[in-house]
Amino acid sequence: MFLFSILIDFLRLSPSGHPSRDTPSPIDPDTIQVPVRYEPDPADLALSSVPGQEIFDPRKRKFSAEELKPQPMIKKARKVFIPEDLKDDRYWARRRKNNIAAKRSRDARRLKENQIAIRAGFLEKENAALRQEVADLRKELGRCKNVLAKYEARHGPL
Amino acid sequence: MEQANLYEVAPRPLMTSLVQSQQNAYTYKDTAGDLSEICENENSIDISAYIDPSAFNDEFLADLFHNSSKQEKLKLASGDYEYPHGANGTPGPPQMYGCLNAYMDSSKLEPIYDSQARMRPVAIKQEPREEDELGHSMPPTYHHSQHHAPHLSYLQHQIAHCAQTTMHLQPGHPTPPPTPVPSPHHQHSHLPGGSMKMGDRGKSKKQIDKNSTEYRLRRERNNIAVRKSRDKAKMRNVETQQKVIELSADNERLRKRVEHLTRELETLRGIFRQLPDGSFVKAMGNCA
Repeated sequence: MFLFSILIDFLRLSPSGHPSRDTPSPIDPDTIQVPVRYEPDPADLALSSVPGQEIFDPRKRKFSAEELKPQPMIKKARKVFIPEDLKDDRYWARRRKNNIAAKRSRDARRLKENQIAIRAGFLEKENAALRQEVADLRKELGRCKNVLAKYEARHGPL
Repeated sequence: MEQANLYEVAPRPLMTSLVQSQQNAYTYKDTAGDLSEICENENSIDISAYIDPSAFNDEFLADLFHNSSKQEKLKLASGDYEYPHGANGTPGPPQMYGCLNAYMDSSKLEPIYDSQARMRPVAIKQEPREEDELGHSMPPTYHHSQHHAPHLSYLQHQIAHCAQTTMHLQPGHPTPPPTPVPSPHHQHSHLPGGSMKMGDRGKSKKQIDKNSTEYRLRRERNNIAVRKSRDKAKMRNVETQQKVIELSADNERLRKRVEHLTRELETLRGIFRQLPDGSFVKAMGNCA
């Protein structure tokens, strides 16, 4: 009787009033961490990390969908030739500012691209590990069910 | 293409060439910065800054001047258009290596030119142009030339176009200054009569004739190579981003499955634990 009710619960996949016989509460899939052996090249990591902040960690740093979609192309203004006499100090000050900003932008972009690349590598490893885990679990489950079947064959249905 | 794959992803995310580029960081950033500063419309980049001054001897550009020889034609057309020499002796950004190497052993540029771009019968290899999905990133000149008279070689067409547009495209700040703040006197004043370049900042040793066909030819090749390299990098980045999105979704799905299977297992094991031991032990195996 006792067993029967357990089995019913199991088959119904619904919790009963008895906590000890409940199926385990659902785990948040995001917290599931399969051990992934991933050692990125320290040089690559260095290229992906900002010196002022902590080293880039591919495990934690997820990129949102917003971040990942390819950058929209902004139309650049055509270059206009400026004669020498118009290149006054103000002009050069602006050029300097723009050059610095351009460098900054390029560096940021490069950094982000490197980070994404490392993250991709990590995700691949994690993917493989998860697949392995799934395979192992299914194997284990198969064996347990096999045992159950043998038991039932011997002792009748649970 | 040894130097071109800067950010190769598989099997490792970043190849050591990334490290190289980091080592060249300052030159790379400075010069490549100015490379990309040159907007897609720009047709000329002063690459003389990247050429090792010691290479400007009689050997410089020899191959351009003996282009009637079949050997040269074969060499040019044989598909090592991209990067004929693997080794690279010059400093400068990795992107610049390939095309320059071809010219390192050549003779010095002849100062003779005329104001119109003279199409020399050189063996110009047409670059097979990949499908242009990123049309918006292409400079107008590039597209433009593709639709022109087919009897002219594609490259020659670009040269013609560039020669005409050179005047307008002298940017205020075209090329890699050794110092961040550019000096007020610029070297790129384009004199129609054609002249030697004088008073170049940072590279006074070499006077390069910007109107010669050879120069334009080299410029064109380099431009094409640069565009190709940039396109390739862009495609790679897009692919990597796609991969990250896909893998993230995959991993989420796999995690859910792992969770589900684990729960199932736990439930099953719970059952086993609660069964009477006696009759069950034989059938047990490792489950409980």
